Amino acid sequence: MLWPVKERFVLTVIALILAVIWPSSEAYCAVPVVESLGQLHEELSVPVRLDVDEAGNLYVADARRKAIYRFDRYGALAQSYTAVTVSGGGLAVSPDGSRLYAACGDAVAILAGDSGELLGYLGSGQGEFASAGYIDLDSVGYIFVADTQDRIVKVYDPQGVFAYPITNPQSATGKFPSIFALAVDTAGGELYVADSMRSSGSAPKMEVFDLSGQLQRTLSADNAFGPVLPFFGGISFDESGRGYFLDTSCSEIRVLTLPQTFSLRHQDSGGFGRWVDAAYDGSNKRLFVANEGGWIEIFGIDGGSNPSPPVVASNSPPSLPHPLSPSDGAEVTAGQPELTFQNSADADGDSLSYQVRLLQGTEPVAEYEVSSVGEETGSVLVDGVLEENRQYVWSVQASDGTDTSGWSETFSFYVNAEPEAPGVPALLAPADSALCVGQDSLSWTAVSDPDPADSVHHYVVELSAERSFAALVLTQECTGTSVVLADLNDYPLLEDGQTYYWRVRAVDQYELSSASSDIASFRYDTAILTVFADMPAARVYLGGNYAYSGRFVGEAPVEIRDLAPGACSVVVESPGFEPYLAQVQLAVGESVQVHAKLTTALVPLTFRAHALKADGATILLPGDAAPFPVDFDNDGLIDLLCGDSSGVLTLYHGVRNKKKQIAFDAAAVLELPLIYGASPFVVDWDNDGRKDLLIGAGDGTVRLYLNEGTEAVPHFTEGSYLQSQGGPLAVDGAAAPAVVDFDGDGDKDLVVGCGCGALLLYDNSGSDAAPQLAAARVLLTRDGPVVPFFTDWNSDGNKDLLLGTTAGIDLYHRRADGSFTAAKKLSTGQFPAANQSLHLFALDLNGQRGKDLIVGNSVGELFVLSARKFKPAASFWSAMRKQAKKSQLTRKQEKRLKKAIRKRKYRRVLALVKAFQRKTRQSSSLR
Amino acid sequence: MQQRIMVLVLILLLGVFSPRAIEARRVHGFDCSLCHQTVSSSPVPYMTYNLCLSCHAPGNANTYELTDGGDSNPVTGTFASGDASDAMGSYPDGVTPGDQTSHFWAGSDDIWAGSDDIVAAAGAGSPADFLYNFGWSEGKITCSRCHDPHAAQSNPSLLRMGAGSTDAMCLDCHQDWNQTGNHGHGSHPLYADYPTLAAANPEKFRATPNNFGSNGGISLVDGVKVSCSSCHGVHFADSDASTVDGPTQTLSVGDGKLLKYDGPSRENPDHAPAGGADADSQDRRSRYCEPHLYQLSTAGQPGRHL
Repeated sequence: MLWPVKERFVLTVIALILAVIWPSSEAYCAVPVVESLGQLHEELSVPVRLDVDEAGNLYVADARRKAIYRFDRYGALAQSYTAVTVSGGGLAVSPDGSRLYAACGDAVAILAGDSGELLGYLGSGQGEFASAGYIDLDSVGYIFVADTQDRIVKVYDPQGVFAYPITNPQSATGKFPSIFALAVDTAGGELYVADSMRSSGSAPKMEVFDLSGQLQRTLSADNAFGPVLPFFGGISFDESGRGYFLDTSCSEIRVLTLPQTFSLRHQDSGGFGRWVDAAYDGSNKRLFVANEGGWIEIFGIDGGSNPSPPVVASNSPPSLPHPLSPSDGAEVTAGQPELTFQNSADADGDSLSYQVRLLQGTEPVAEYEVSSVGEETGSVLVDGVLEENRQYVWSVQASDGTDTSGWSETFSFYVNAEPEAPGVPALLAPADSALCVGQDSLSWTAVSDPDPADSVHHYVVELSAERSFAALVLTQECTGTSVVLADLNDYPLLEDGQTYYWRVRAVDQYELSSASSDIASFRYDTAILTVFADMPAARVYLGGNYAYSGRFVGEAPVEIRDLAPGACSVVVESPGFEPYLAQVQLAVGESVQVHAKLTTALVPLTFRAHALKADGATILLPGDAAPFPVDFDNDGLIDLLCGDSSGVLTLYHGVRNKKKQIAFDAAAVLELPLIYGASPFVVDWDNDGRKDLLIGAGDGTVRLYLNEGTEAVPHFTEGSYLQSQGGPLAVDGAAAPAVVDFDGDGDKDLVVGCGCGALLLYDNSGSDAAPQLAAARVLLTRDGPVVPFFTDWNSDGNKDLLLGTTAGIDLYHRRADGSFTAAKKLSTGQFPAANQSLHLFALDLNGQRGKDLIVGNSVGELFVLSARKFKPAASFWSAMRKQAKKSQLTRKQEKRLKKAIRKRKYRRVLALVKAFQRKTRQSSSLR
Repeated sequence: MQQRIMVLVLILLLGVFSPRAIEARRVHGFDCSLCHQTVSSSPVPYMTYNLCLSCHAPGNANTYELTDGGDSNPVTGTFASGDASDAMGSYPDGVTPGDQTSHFWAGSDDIWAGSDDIVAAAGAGSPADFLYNFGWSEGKITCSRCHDPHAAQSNPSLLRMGAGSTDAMCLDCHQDWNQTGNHGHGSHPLYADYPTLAAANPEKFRATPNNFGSNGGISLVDGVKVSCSSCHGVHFADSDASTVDGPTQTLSVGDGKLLKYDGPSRENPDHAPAGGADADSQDRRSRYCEPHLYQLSTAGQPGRHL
């Protein structure tokens, strides 16, 4: 039917109007809403090419790492492809992700999507391209590759065989001026080739071909993409018919509603790096953009979002159970112990079962399943008898049927159902029937206790004089496996020359004792020094001299065992009597007795001075003569040691003259360094039984020379400075040392007279054998140098202080409470001359008239001040009165003695005392 | 007088009619409009919006059609944004450097404060040579500050001061180091005649610097000089002895110090001397020190010249 002309015209007009006002199909594709969804950074250095498979996995070619990375749809790095060295020129992936096509310079490699292995190459492989660039696939698997150096497109069938080229129809050579990007719109069945070359004959543009290579249209870069798009980057398409075209120079996305309607310009926020490729993820409506700065930008398109990883239903495993009993390291007394544990908790409330394992070391012994437990704890009884004295370990784990807690901490226990005694020691030393002295040791083997948790608590050493051990001489517990005879508590009970039998047994902490060891014997034969005195309670010292009594060993009568062989000086002191000094020579196994004959203490009243001579000539030293009389060679005669200003130490050996009086031989110089202003003091500083030498020096220091020789033949070390509080002791002016137990605590203290006039005390905070000197304390100060000497001047049992000064000799009596009386000047007549510093020493030189003084002055002269007048010391009378009360004299003798004492009839008293002393000697016995 | 006028006219005529020098073929023989186009009207960070990197981009080995219809050479030197060195802290806040194998190329007061062409820590001041200082790039550190995009193929690296001028260009900016024979700027001295120096001090220097055989050892500039490029590269230098430096090579992540061999911070077991060396001595002793006869540190004792 034909319409009339008029109607046809009207219909035509209506159709035209509808055509104008009715929107085209393009206009239905709304402008995309682009929203940033974050970035991917992991592993990436310079990402340059992208593609996405149907599942939303993202594939990234990194031009610096020369590798491809796959991120799963959740953005997690899932795989790295490193089978070939990719150039980053191009990358495509099949929709199912099974194959990857990667540009590798002059070839395109085909990689397996799952394993990443190299499956082959497109075409002829290496050299197939001048330079392989962008790659994309069409909907049936044909591969389109831009050869960016030959500037053509090569198409390959799904098997990778070259199919046909696509060339530039506007060029005689077929080359595109440039290829900046390539992509296939699979929905539209079109190929997009980007050319950014701008020249007189060419303008930047996007050439759109059908898939056979026929040019369909050209989109100008100057106006088809909104503002000028100077340099194309990657291209991608969404399912809504929109194309995403990157501008690499400005990091922008230009969106076209296909075929050619510009709809959006999306710009980077102005950050770092350039946008170089894009890939659209249709499964999640996301656009990935590669930023060569090192990451992937993710954009949601029209509400697209990053999918969240599926939540996997989880089961909370039970908490760890804890072993309770037997506790770790415990000893069990049953062969079938019960193993108890603390139950686990389960957050899901699942019912729990437990597995208990029992091991010996690492070897399994038993394993138990425990399904029924109490509320708090569970337990299992070991079903077999465990080995005695063995250690077992056990642990437990809980299970909720799905997961386990893991094994608990491991507890161990010992089985000790039957307590046993320790093993029997074997005797080691001394050999049977050996000769022993006090320093010998008894030793035996260590033994153990068979009960694993028990140990030997101590050993019991038993000594008997009979092999039958019918009566024990001594028994002693020892924690070690040896004991020195002298350290035995009842050591004094051993009798010299006696044969003893000994044995040992071991005892554990429960007093379970082993049998006794075999029996061995030894003969005890040691050196014993016994000191008697003719006054009771006389104090006995070893290693002393007239200046320092030495090491206190007890009150007479006293027995000292195990002294080292050689010379030894014995000092005996008793109030009211002059000190007694004797030399003894000890030999191995020999016993020596000393009977101290004490003489009445006499107090000098006036003195008579005479110059001291040696070898017949008056002694004159260079200056500051500092005498120290001492039996230097332990020959029983007093020698004279002198220091002086020159630093030399001179020794004058004592001899007996024709009158059997003490005289001194020619001078000998000690082999010591020069110590200017030397002021010597002889003392056994370290209690090793050998005399040592302290020397005060003109520089204020005090030096110690330890004796490495013997007591009788000293040989001194190189010397050291005495220390006080961490540094060398040093006083102002010359130092004159004197050793004395100043505080009565049984150890030697040091008093130093100073050239500056101070008298300093250095208290010993260490021991008698290893003195440690505390800080100095000023005892007194005087004008001019002071030199101390301590002696019991009045024989009352307290060490008094004689102080040599430039004004003479001062005497400070010491009271029983330790305080000193006021100074009293000794009456020494015209001697010494005024204004001379004095070194002095008090001793009874001739044994007749009480103490004498040997004095050295600053000129270098030495004088003896002998008592011209004297009287018995008050302490003598006091001692006599005390003894008279408890003496063993006859009543008549006692009466006569008291009368004589009362009337100060000295000679009568003396005669009675001698009788008394004889009796004392006869009746004394060892304590 | 007439004769003089004739001579003058003759000279002028010769000047006008003399044959013109044939213009050399350019490396970038493209149409001007390829590059000379307006991209953005506002200043942008050159590290990112960089015209050169539109072609010199990683993964790109393209050729392009030249104005004469021929093909350009393939792109070889490519750069990513993170290749720029951050040794002088030139990067914007919050940006993590990449491989740092190239001289920084985005210094401008306009974009990131303090990153212009005067960097005291680098001993760098404005270059003296006029060739640097014209056009848009003056005062900035950009590609075109050092490279002339219009240079001829006889100057393939497009250096502003001409082919082979690498070292001279370094010193024209890094003037503090341009002091021969002393420790300019507290660093290793330059020296004009190393062979003579070594001959005079055989106890200190090897006669020939030990180049270790491969991978970017020390090179004497002009065969005799110890200068910047003896040890440094400008681009494609990763301070890693295990890689070959260069535009087509696979490089390591560098430290921005652009050393041809290992930098002091790179741990390299090759540096361990016989008998082992403690980390301290390795740290102090790059193998760049090999020209020196040097005793390694021993336990507790610092190393020293022999």
